[in-house]
Amino acid sequence: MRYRYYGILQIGVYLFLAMTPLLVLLTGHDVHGRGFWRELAVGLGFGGVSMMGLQFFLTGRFQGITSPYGIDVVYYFHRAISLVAFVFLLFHPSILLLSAPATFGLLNPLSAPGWMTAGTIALFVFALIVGSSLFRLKLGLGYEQWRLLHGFAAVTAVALALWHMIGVNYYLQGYVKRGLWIALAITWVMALLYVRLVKPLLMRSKPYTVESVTKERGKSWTLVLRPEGHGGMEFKPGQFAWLTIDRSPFSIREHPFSFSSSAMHPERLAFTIKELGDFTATIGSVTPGTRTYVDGPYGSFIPDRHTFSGYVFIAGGVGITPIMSILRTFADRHDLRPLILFYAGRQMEELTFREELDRLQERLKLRVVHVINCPPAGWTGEQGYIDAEMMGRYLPEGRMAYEYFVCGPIPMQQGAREALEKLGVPPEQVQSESFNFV
Amino acid sequence: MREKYSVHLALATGCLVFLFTLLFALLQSPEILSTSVQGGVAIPHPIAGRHKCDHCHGRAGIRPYPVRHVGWNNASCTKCHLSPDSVMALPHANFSGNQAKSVPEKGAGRFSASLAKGGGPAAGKKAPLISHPVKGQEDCLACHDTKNEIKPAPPDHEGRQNETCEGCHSRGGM
Repeated sequence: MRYRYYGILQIGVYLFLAMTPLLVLLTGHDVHGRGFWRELAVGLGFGGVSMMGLQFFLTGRFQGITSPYGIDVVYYFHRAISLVAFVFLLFHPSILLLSAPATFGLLNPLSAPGWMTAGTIALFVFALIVGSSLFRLKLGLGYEQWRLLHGFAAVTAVALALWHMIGVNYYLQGYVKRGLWIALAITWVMALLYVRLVKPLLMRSKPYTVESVTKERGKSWTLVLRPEGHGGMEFKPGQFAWLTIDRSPFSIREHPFSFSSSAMHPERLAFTIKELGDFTATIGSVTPGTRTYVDGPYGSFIPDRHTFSGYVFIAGGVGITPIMSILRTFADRHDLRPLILFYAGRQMEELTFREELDRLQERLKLRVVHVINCPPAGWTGEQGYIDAEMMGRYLPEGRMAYEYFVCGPIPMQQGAREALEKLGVPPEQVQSESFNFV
Repeated sequence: MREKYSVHLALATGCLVFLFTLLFALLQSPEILSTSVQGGVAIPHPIAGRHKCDHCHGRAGIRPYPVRHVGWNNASCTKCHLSPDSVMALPHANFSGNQAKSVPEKGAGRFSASLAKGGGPAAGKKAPLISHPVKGQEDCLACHDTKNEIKPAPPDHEGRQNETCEGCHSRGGM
């Protein structure tokens, strides 16, 4: 409940921050309207830039912003609200041009004043940011290239937009209003600098060394990290962190991975990573002794936020990783609340941590249900996909008093959520998190 | 599910910011709100052939409009200000009184009368007196049209008609 109120408060703060710069424009004695359509267009321009500026905070991985919802929700919101802000910015010149066609001449950079051309270029740069994010894979942009482009383009677009607003010299006449918008822009860029400079500096003072690299079932590898000269990192079971392996902490090549180790051991961090993308395909070649930097912990996929009488976990493939961290932590805590794990995989041989899960059943009040897509001959267990009927066979009557955690490929998550809905589980008792940030 | 929730939240936020922007635009466009509630000052002279209102009513004109009208174009004037042409069918009382509800300046009545009460060129300036007899020479533009070579009026008088001249220029005792 505390997180819910905090989340609502944050939405209120966001709206306040998005609208106040617009409201401030109305103060003073020298602001006169110039017709409804023109003012609407101008308002959309200011509102759009204001919302775009706030994106720097949304993507800054500030714990206070991400904790009520989970970082994936903040990133999804960032994507969606960027599109909304871009539509605002697109309507700004469109309405102006339609209501006063004579202003078409201002689009000609050869005859238009510099501030006008700055506004036109800013719009194109915003379009570049949105387009490159929506179609990154189709454009063949690598994650690092895209991230670099995204950061530089965002700063450029905001700077050009500010030049345009000041150059128009209508609403931003006077030192107070102009100063306010410049201060806002500086705050936005400072949020970016915090992520790109301050955070790496802090990470640099707390390095880790790869202690071991162990091959697991299902084309996965477990990296165990030991802190160098510090106490490690406190985290909650189910959370994740961004790892920068064998590179400077200022490098943009960092990737999010879930902790797979027990949260009771902050001095020994383990991450289990599946060979999937271009970076993770080489994860097995990391050698012990490699210096690594850890930015975290993040995520709201944690059982410690609410107290329930039992937990149900639904994992698919490498989605077992954060759940493994939760189970190992529960084992270390001697937590004997009832636990059920539905663990889906293509083949029995591919199920990561299969043997350890068997052992954990002896230490915990845990029941593991393997669901195999391509079962071997003579398989008597569950097969196919996890659905409501299958879960209903294993869930106790008091299932409403349980919290549910779903982690795995997106289609599996959707299927599991639908199945739980059929079983009457309230959506707020179902937790999931996705790493599909771009 | 979480993505859907985030998208809904973003759309709701965008709608609220848009509504706020709409409010901003309405606050800055009182002419939209005022037309349905009350009219502006009634226009006390015919407007046929006079479409460049800002010649006389611009901030530097002989009878400047309020500062809040700066930036509005000539086509907007008659959205709020009724001309005699459009109110001829109305009872006289409506034109001079009820219809002209917001009368910020003195005298919304006859044009020349209002000028005599303090109207004129830009603040602090006084129009030159007419230095010749007017009788028989009522067609001022014959000599004083802005493009005339005899004694042209200043360029900002372009478009003004004969009947407005004496609004500012007195006969100088002749």
